This record gives sequence, structure tokens and C-alpha cells, in this order.
Amino acid sequence: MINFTWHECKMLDTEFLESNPVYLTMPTDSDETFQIYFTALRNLAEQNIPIAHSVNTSTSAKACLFSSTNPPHWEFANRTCPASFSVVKEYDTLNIRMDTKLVNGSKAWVSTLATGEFGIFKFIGECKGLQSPHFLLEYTYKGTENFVEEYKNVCGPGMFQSGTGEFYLKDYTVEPVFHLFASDPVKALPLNKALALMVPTILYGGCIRLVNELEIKTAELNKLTNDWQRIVDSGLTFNLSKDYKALDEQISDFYYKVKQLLADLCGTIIQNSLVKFYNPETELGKYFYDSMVYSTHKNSNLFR
Amino acid sequence: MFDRQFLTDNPVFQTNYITADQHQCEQYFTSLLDIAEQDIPLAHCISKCTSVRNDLTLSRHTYHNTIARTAFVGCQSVWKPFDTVTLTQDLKLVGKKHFVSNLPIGEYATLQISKGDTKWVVYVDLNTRADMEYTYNTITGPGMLETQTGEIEFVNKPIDETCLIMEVRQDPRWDLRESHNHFFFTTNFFGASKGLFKLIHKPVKFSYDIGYLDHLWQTVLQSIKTDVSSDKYWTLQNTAYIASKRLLSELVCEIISNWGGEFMGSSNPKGKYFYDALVFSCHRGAYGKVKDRHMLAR
Repeated sequence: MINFTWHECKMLDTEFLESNPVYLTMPTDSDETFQIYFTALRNLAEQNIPIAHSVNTSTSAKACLFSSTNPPHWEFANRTCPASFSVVKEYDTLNIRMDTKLVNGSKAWVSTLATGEFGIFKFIGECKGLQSPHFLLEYTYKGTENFVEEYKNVCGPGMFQSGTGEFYLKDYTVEPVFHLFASDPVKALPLNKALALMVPTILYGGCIRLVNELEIKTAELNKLTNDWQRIVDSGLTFNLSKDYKALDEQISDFYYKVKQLLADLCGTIIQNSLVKFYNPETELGKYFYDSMVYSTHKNSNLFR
Repeated sequence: MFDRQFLTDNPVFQTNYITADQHQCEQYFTSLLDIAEQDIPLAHCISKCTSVRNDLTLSRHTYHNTIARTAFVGCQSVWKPFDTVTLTQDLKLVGKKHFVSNLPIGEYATLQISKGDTKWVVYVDLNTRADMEYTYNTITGPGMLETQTGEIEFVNKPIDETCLIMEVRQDPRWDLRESHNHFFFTTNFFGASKGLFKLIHKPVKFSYDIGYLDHLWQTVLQSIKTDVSSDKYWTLQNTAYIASKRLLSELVCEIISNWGGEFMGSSNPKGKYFYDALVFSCHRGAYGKVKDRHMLAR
């Protein structure tokens, strides 16, 4: 009955990515790579949500770096290592000094921090006079007094394998802050579409797996399958004049519904006390805890 | 942490439900509710221990009645579909008993076992653990770890005939025994619900459920020493049981749907309480699939 010990599960590493190069596919390259990548990501999420999530953060970070106008960033984008991608939230205290390029403060809920080589951190809104600036943070000095990492908040079996933690920086030098597509927001649309579809695709993979495990049929999943396929089939192309808005709404609508379905499926397990899902040291039990924790991403009361 | 010292320090939890009067029962269940609101595994351990005390009090053998009056750590476990422990014709226990709480520190146990076509509650002295093997990997986290739940494998363990306390469901004493077992689950589910309700800042949409359940719980408590074999009594018990288990499941689902963050990490107090509540909520199966005769509408 005991398959493994959940806290000893291997996190995403370079070896895995190099052995499974489909996860190094860049979805922003073409319609075809977009479709290949998201199909692979969905399949991976059906097997292992935290690994799929780390693949998402790695690809997201690299996709941003490919879009940078600063050539040294492209070297990072071509690496085969895991990486983090995280948005700076109101509870984070990260602060950048533009003149000295020194960063101080804390950043919580950073996925793939444990095994990543670098991370991309995005500020929402205006920061230091720039709109939505991103910055690249190399993890070279992780573990030194300038870069302290902790993993205290994510110590349950759910999503433990995503290597999520928080860090504190003290006078840490960063690469120049870069602002993606500052002068041409239209060019950012393919990247934004790819980034926006990552989490919903993983949630969707989770729904497929739990529906199979529960041996139930849901009309909702059939409908979401059609929605997801339509989004993926449309690739990177869209009509700028009207579809930009429609595209955004289509993914947002899919995201909301698929997140709700995953939470409902976890609720079905809980309300029916289906004990076979409760042991985290079976593959099925671990999948349940991963699904449950993943379904809480971006919940309204998440950090109250 | 639950142990014999805890019982010595908190004599209310040594209450003998079988012999207690109405006032003592009220004190016991009110205190249990308070504990469950703070620490679900501890409440569960206390309840299981009281169940053993009840069984030993109901036994027709003076030796068992004497033990029931002492402070001890007890292990009680009902028959599970995957249990294999049987009593052979030459009175030897053979096979596995799963999900036994308090197992490493348990001194006396009352376990449901198979005997031919019937099921029985048997007494087992755990102070001498010969002819028994133990494993503690039944629950590996993240919730209810402090209940120290494990499995016993009996290897031809001889027992005395006096250890057969009562036949499951057929004995006239069964209703009285189940009265406590049923209500301690109701109490602990309700306490866990109150604990979660507090942690999510008492949202209005659950405050009515909490109020209703509080009223129902008080009503059962007021009738706890009445005729425990009547249909009226069990209808009331069942209603409160189902309402408390359902509310706990709904609060757990509420946290998954609208909360997260600290609740999802089992190493902080909020997360620990959530995972205890999650795992505890699955005890005794789904409220919609009750099989015990006390759970059927009368």
C-alpha cells in the first residue's frame, strides 16, 4: 500500500527536463509549439500537479526572457534548468534601488525555489516609474546571508514537490530591471496568452484525473474539454481588433470554471469520506492532496 | 499530548459515562467540545479511552469493572471491512485489526472481532504484548497524527472466555454503549466545525449552521441519560450526528474553495488544525451512506 514517502519525492530538475524535452518546448514560438506544449502540460498534470506547476514556472520565466530586448537574458532563456516565475504581491516587501541595482526585502510563495537556478519576478502596476517591470534574480548566492530561503509554510504533502518557499534578500544585486514590450504592448499578446493558459491547463489536467479516479461522468468536464481545445487550437493567432478582449475573457472564463470544478471534485471526496484518497503515501493520496492545495491558488481569502 | 497523566490532571475526562449522572455527562461532553475546538486528535483520544471504560463497565466480570474505575489509556476500534481478526474455536485471536488509536501507549483495548458468523467486542490487555505484532504506518499524515493510530496483528493470542464482553448489535447493552460512541463523534465533529469557523473569522453564511447545531447538540445532551433504546432518542442522535458531520465537511470544502495559504501547510497552527479536521471528517464514512442500525431512520 505504501508507494513512497511524499516528502522524499524528487522535485523538478535539469535531468528530468533534458530527458523529456517536450517540456522545454517554447509555446510562444509558433502555433504548433503552443499546441504541443499545452497538450504535454495537460498530460503531465494528470500524473503529477507539482511537477507540472514547476514546468509552468520554468517555461514562463524563459518565455519572458526570450521576449527581452537585452541579449544576455537570452542565454538564461536557453538553459535547460528549472526556474521560478512569480508575481510580487502586496504582502511582499521586495524593494529595488534603481541606481545601485540592489534588492532588499522578502518574497513569499515562490514556486520551484528549491531546485531553480533563477527566477523572474513581476511587479503589478507601476514600480519605480515603470509599468509592470520584471526582474531577473539568479539564485547563485542562495543560502548566503544575502539570500536566505525558507520553506516553512508549505510543509504539508500537497504541492510540497513544487519546491515552494520564500526568500529574504539583503543588498542583493540583480540584473537590470527590464520592462517587457514597453513600447509595443501588442507584441506581448502571444506571451500573455501562453502565460495565462498555464495554470488553467494544470487545473484542467487535475479535473480529468480526479473524474477518472472517482469513476463519475460530468457534463461540466465535457464542456471544459471543448473550451480548452478551442483555446489551444487557436494557437498564438488572434484578431487584434476584437479578439484580444475575447481571448482574455475566454481564458478567464475557462480558468474560473476549471478551478471551481477541481474544488468541487475535492469536495466530493471529502463529503463522501472516500478514505482511499486520504493516505499521502500512496500515489492516489498524494495526488488528492496536490489537487486540493493547487485548487486554492488565487482564492479570495488566501492570505487573510 | 494524551497519556495517563493527562487523565490524572483532568479528572473530568475520567468520567464513567455508564454510571455518571446527567450533570456529570454535561460536564464531560461540554469539556470534550472545548477540547475538540482546540485540538481534534486530543479529543478523539479522550473519547476512545472513555469508550473502553464504558465497555469495561458494562462487562459482566468484576475484574473488568475494577479496571474501569482506574486511570488508564484505552484503545477501542470498531470492525472495519478489511479487518481479518477472528477468534478461533480454541479461543485464540488470529489476524489483523486496523485503525487502533492510542496504540503505542495503550494499556487496555476493547476491539471488535469476528467469531464465526458473529462479531464481538473483546477485551485485550495490552500491558503484556505477547503474541501480537504492531505497525504504526496506517496514518502517515498529515492529519490526526497524535492519535498514534496503528494496526495489531494477532498471532494465535490466547484469550480467556471472560474477555468476550458483548455481541455486536445483538446485546441489550449495545444501545447504551453506542449512545456514548455516537455522541462523542457528534461532539468532536461539532467542536472541529467550531474551530474551523473561528479560524475563518466566523462568516455569516455559516453562523446559522453553527447556531442550529449548537441548539441540536444541547438538546441531545439534555436527553443523554433518557431511554437510549427509544426511536425518539436515536432520531435525535442521528439528526445531530449527520448535521455535525455535514457541517464539518462543508467548512473543510469552504477552506478549499475560498481560502488556502497557511491552511495548506501542516507545520503551522492553522494548517495543522485544517489537516486534522480534514482527516477527522472522513471518520466513519460518508453521512449519506450510513450503515449502522443506529444511523437508520426509525
